[in-house]
Amino acid sequence: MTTVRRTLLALAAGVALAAVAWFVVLPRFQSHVFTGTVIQSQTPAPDIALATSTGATASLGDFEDQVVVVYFGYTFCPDVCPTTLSTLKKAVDKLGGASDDLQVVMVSVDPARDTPEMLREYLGFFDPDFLGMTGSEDDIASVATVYGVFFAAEPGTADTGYLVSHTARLMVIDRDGYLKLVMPGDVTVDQLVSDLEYLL
Amino acid sequence: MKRIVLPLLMVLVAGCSGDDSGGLSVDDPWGRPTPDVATTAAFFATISNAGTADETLVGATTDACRVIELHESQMDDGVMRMQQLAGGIPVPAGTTVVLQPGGLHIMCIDKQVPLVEGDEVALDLEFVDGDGERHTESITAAVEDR
Repeated sequence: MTTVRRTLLALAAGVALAAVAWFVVLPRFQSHVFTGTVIQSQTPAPDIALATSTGATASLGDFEDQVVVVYFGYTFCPDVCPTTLSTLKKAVDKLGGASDDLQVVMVSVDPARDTPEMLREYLGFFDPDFLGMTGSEDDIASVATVYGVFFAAEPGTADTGYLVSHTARLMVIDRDGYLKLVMPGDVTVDQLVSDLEYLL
Repeated sequence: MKRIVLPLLMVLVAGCSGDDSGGLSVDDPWGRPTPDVATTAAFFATISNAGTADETLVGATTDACRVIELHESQMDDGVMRMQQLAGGIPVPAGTTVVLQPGGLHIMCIDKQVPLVEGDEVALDLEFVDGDGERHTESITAAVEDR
């Protein structure tokens, strides 16, 4: 083997090693940069125990060792809620098998319109595994308050009746049951996938 | 592709010349697929006014919805608020106004048909020009999950 060939082989091996280090090893030592705002909770996330779209009552404890994404929305909402739910569905699809340990929950901020049956039909359109939760306005207000979520019915027209202004953020609870992230309502699919993939 | 054929309701106003709307164009109209049980939906589009007269989108009609209102969603410190724009959506001369999720939109109330991916929905958008004359732009919105 000539000196030139040895040199070329050594160079090629060096480039290959550098590529492995750059693309495989280094990322494992880099901390994940979250899109969502990281919450450093000292205590587990406040429980959400409400009637669900399956007809039963559920609480966060039922999702042990799962990542739970909680969204406060309503089915009469024409714009932002379906957009967010569509984003969540696309994220679930991109996560593939990893989403088996992910539970998406929408807590209704419009219990007068959103019966469990309505929530089941509505959310099932996006993903049959998405879970709706509802209850009395007082019960929902209690949950919303501890999560820092605002909602209020605003006067509408004769045809809309009323509209509901509401916090449009996503709350992400980690596998240990702690509120880990608060994500903006206009989060992109890729941003959502990146953060959820890390937590899963 | 499944196509919803919806008869158009033409709003004809006597004396409307339509000259000032020559520069008005409505591009990329679309709406998101919605659950059958949903009674509302939203349509979006890009409206450009290359003419010399101001225009205002004041309403719309379609067989797909019993009522249509023009609305704006606004994020206010993390809270999403939506309100009807009773005065319409102004499209001043020489400007482009984008109706998009989380912002200006055409709100469908009491949805009459399923909105399924691949469908098309005919809408008549009603504009008023700077002289107060009404005219209609007929569009076909694609139903797509963007």
